[in-house]
Amino acid sequence: MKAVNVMARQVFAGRKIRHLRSQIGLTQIAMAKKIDISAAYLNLVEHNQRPLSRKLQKKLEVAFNVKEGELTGGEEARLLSAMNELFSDPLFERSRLNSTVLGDFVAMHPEISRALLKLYRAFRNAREDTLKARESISADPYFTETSHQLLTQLTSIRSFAEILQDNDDLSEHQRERFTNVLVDESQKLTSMVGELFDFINGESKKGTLLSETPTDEVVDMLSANDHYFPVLESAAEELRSRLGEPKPYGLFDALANYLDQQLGIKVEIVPVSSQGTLQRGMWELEGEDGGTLRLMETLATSSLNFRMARIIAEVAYADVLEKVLADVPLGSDEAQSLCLKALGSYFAGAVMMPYSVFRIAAYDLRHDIDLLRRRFRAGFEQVCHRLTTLQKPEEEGVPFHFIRVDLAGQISKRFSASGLRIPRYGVLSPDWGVQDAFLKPGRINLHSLRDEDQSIYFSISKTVTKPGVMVGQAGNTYAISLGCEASFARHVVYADGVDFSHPDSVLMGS
Amino acid sequence: MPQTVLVVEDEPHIVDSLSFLMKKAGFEVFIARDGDAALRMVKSRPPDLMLLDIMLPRKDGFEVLKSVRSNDAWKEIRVILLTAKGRDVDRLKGMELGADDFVTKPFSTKDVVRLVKQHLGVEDKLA
Repeated sequence: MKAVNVMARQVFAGRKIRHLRSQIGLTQIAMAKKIDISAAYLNLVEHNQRPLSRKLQKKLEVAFNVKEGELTGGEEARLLSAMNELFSDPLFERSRLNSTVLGDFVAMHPEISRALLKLYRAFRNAREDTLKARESISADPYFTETSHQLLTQLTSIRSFAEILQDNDDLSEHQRERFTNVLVDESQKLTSMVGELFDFINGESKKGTLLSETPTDEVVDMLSANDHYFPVLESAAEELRSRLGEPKPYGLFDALANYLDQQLGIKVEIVPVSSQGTLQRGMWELEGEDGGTLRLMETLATSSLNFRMARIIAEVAYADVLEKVLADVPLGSDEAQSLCLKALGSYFAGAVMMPYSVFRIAAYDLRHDIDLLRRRFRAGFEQVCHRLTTLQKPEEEGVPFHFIRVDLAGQISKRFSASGLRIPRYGVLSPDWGVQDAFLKPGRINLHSLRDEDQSIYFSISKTVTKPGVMVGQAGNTYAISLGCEASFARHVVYADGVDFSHPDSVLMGS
Repeated sequence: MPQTVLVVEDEPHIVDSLSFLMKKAGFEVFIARDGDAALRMVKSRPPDLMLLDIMLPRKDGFEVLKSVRSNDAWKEIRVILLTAKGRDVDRLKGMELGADDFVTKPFSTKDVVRLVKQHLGVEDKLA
């Protein structure tokens, strides 16, 4: 134990002591005399040839009125190490600093050193993001195809322009034909460049070309519609009316009866003892003439209701879903199938949390997710998701952004009505605070951040665990983040008392 | 008898300009708009030189080049690749497969004519 303490006491504070001595204007001999050590020993300590003992530290603190611990240099050592790393970056290849100069600088200007390090970190993040973006863009099929087309147009234009310039002996017909080619190709080029700008701004009219995966396609389609589908809202209202406007606690019976009586689908709650018998783990729909919807009894009421409402959407409102699907540009069959599920889920959310009632409740309860969950018998993610859909013109809710990430920071759902730009590629940086939720599972975390436009955002995040496919099987855990721009934070109960003048993090470039 | 140039390119305007330039330079020009057509034409009448685009429908330029270089009867055919700017890997791959030279899109018409003449041993009056 003693040995450990001795090891831990290897503190070097030479620069700080030298700096202190020069500040009070003493020679080594004069300072050594005041603290009753030899000038030679002080010289060794000042040059970090000897560590600073506790005894000597105490003497210095008392003799020169130094704040306790200020000389031990923990912060200085950390700063120095970080600054050494900074100056070893290839960026400074031609302006290397020797360690004495750097050490003196850190000791004398700790604030500037910290600011430099902050700047360097921002630079490094920006450099990494640029590399990631370059990699993603160069692999993007849209980019490859467009660059090929651009080069082709340019080659035609250049060739004919040079032919017209270099050949005085062209016939009138040839000259006219080549000029027409030039005009045509220039027009095509102009339109292609315009489209390229749209692509850069994330507004491709072709929509699907921007999306790398079917999931991306669906996310982009939902964003293009501001996460709000009036046709599905009307359909959900119609169903609720047919169900007799059930209260949240009566919704299960109402949906089960509707499935049975109107669609011929029997609902059966399967006891845990039968686990493993359901085709899809927690639920299955099988049989002819409607068939039987079997749901595992361990599912939360919110999940049971959600599943039943989605089945109703797919069976009784298939034409409505298909109509929405027909109006959106989706490339692949897989994207269409995913989109159909997303629209079914939207419908289910609208049935469980009817627009107007839910919106009023959200403001009344100041977006307390837990109270909204209880009032509407819905899950955390369901409520957060529904809040993002309150985009009806003249009857809007708070413009929220919504992010779902896994432990690695991979984004599986994203939507932003708040104005915050959520990264499209790569993993979410810890600066966003979303992953903090994993440190305190099940609890609500608060986070404020400033983005590159100097706007301040507030968000809450919480983990949610999806049930495993089988009873007892571990499910996937995600962090859900819901946030808004700070000016809307007064509508959010969690933001009470948050000091927005000092955001928890500052996004790159701020 | 004029030397022959086979232009293998799917973009009609580029075909138009190359064929104009080659004819103007005194060569007899044949045109193929995809890789399969190019090989059929090489079989029926081997050209002295091919201007060969890489991104072609059906069979790309590399496949065409491989087939041409795998037949001893066609080893004298000079092949100039039309590669795209920023695709250095295509140029390297083409040269590895036996291309004689390359021009990069968007190319200068003077460079193309000069290169073709150089490979066919024709004196370039512009040079």
